[in-house]
Amino acid sequence: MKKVWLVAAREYVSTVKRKGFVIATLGMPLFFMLIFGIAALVGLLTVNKSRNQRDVVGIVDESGLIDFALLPSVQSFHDRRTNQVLDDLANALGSQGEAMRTQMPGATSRVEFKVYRTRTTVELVPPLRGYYVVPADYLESGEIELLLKKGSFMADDRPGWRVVQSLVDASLAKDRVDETLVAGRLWMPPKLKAVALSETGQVAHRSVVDEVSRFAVPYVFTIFFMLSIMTSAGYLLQSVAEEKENRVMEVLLSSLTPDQLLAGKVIGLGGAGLTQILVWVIVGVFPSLAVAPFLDLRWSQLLVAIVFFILGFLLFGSLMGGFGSIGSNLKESQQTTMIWSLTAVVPLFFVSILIAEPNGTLARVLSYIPFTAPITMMLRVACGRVPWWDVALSALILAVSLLVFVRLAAKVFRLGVLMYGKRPSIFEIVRWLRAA
Amino acid sequence: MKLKADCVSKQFQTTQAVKDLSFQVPSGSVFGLLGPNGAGKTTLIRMLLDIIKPDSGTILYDGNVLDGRMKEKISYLPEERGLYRKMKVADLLDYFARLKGLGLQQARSNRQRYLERLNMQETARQRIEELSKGNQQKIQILSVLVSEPEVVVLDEPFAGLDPINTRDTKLLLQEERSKGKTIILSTHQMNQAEELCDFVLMINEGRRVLYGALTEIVAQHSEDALLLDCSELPDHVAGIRHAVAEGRLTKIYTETGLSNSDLLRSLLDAGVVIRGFRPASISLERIFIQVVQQSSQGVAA
Repeated sequence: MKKVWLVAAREYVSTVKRKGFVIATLGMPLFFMLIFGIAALVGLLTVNKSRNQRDVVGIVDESGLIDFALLPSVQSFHDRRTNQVLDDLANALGSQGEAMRTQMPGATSRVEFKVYRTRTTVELVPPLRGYYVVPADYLESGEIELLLKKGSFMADDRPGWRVVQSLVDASLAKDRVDETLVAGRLWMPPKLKAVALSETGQVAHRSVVDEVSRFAVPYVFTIFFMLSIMTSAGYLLQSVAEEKENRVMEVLLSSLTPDQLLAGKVIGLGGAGLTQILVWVIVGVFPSLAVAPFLDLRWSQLLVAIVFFILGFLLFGSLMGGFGSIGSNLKESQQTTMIWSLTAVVPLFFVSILIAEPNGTLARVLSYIPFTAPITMMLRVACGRVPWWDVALSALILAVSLLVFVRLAAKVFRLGVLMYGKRPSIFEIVRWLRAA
Repeated sequence: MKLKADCVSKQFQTTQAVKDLSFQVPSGSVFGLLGPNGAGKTTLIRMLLDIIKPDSGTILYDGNVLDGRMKEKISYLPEERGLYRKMKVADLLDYFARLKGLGLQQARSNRQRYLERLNMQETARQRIEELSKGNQQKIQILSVLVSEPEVVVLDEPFAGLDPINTRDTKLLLQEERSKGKTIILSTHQMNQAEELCDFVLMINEGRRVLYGALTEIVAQHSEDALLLDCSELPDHVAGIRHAVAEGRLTKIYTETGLSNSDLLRSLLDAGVVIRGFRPASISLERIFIQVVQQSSQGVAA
């Protein structure tokens, strides 16, 4: 065991001293902050742009119920969305629409447009994006029709719908409901203010940011853990390939057994990966929590993630080391182990489904397959509450299969380390494994 | 006996790498392991190091069957070599010494002693990649000796060394032997083997073709003749059966029973001027070529 620790210590020290490791460890959180910053900025700009360049749609009133004089007030309410407007609107409802319109800069002015409609075509002059039709039987049917041209990818699929709703409600209320505040409240849709309660009944404040973090936190969390697993496993592969290429391998094998060597490497590089995560937690998670306390990260989540990191690294690290030993140089070794790297990232293909339904069937199935379990469980745990037995079952399946795969990897390693020359085919490897 | 192999065989797929090989390596000797490329030397070395197990036969170390515990007592320098390029010399030597079971203090003091021995103390804090190629090779040899193993297996230790480094390395190896270490030397450089080895084992196609004390082997293969640096011989000299020119020397075959002293006296009587003379022993290289050719023909037939 002493020799295993010697190898582990050497692997650990030589890895954490690598430039690439230091850059990844310290640079990755900064890189992600930068990416998120840019994404947030782009998002903000896009929102502003779409607000400024609102799709122009028309309203055709076949019912005769709509009072277009109310439109500017309704519009400006939706633009400003302040309670202050409520009073203004209450006044506006009292046939002061024209006055309000002139008082509110930026309010939409009324433009006449013509619709030429046949059974198969619709032409609008001037060319608006589309129009709402309030039918003659609206009071009976309650249906409003929207005819709309296809917009860009980011375009709203029902532009101005809330304004139209409010306009219809306001028109119906006008002169029929006496109390102006009630009339105003009638067409002004209630705003939902959700208060989240913890299991013990404590009030937690949630906001739009919470909704964003609900997606971003698990995603970033998982990406970081996955990166750490894959880079550490990649270093292991590199270390095996390097020792084979420069023949240090034979010197090492004259001092220890292949199993001791592989175990030392897995422990040393797993330790390097854990160090990386620790640094990320210190420089990434703590400042994030300080800046944004709403980020709902619990220690139990971190603990479960670390358990799955360790199990995941043991699995992929051993397989990378074992199968990587077959190649004669780094390039060949990378080719031989490509399949394991690909299997590990499968859960990322389903990331949106897994985040939306962290306890769904797909999430469960992927959690019970050893290769996809580490990343899936990290994602699920980061998303929120996963039943403890589910975590335990997944960890158990992974741990039991580890026994099988680590043995297989060690067997391949024992054969591979002394093999030089032509790379064997998969069939040859299977044959040797059977013979060994 | 330090090491003893008894009817050792190893087969890979369809290749019989080593076949029924038996030999003994005496303690404190330099044991030459010779053979052409592909003869099975590397396979034999790997079995001696317990990296691979023989299919049949046994290898004994100090009378006990070889197993993992003996790994700490045997060190190995492979033919094709490299080191951890980014590691510092001191860390590297300590690492290899500690893998052989030495404590940290012992490893450090051994490392200092060996670096001083080769006047390389100033390289201790340098990275391997910063050293010259010759110095890298010397560090490699030190990485084998630094754990003070009982047996050292060296595969072509002089390959790539300049004459000065070759001489230094030979001196180092002779010192190690004088300390009682057993050295197994695998090489194609027959002059080096001839100079250093006490015993040789030559294998070809996995089989033993020559084995024994070097002096005996050379004597067995040598002719009963003298090489003379002398003036021209008269047509007939008493006691000389036959004489041929070999370069600027003359090789003289004597009649049976004639001693070297009698021959020299007879030559001097005949008026021959003698500038130098030595027994015409055959070189190990000639023996190697002869034996390998014979054994290959034997196998082919």
